[in-house]
Amino acid sequence: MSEHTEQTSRDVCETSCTNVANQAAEQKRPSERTVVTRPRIDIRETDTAFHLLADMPGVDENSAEVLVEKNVLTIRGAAEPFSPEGYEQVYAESATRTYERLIRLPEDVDASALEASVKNGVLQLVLPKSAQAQTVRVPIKAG
Amino acid sequence: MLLTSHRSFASLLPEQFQRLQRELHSSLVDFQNGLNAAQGVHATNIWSKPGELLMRLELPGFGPEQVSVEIEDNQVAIETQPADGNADVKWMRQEREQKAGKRGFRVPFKIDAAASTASFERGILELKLVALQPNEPVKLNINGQG
Repeated sequence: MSEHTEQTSRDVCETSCTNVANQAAEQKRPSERTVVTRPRIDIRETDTAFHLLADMPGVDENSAEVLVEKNVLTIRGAAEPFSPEGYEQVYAESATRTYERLIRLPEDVDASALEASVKNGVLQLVLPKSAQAQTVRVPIKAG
Repeated sequence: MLLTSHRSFASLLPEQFQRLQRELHSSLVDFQNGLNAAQGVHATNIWSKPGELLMRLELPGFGPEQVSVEIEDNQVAIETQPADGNADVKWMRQEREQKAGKRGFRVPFKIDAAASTASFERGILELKLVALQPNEPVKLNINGQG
């Protein structure tokens, strides 16, 4: 019984402590919080590859990460927290950004030859098609 | 005689299992993405200290040459011009906003355009707007002999 009471009180304590922590986090201004954002992406297809662009403002080549596991591509990035000294935040539309998105890859992608770069806050990936999936242009001879 | 096969292990499974696996993968990817917050467009944050404002606008994909900033009295206007796109592109997904846009802000002081600065890094435009200082009072000498 006492064990049960102790367990219950610990649960209550943990719950209330979590609530207090959550409230404190909510009271922070949006740009002081870190939220995981799903970046907007564009994907275009050419004869030889898929090209993926993901908006990640504030991210550079050192803070971006690209993983391929089975046929799922995971892109991640973290923008440097910004809090200028001597200033007080008066308006906020975005929080400190951490980006993550999972993308299913088509089966005809050669994941081992994937190329990634970052420019102007945009992660750019080139996903080459496997040799079997590439379009073959057949030259037509004059009859 | 040595027999070899180019088929992957997955391709040896019956088609129903392969379809089920793809659907399960797809659901997990959608579920994981659904946990994350959607991204706003051109999100702006502003900081203040006496006589100064610091603004940061997210403009991913634009280069410094595609962004213009105009200052007039107590207003600042930011305009973006997209790069010329290739019309023949075969898009599989298109979510990013890369169109011409304009956004204006009115600030609580007249801006000293000469003292204000703008920089662009990692897809973020940073503006430091400095308040125009009122002229110091000038004492006039009075001519005359009394």
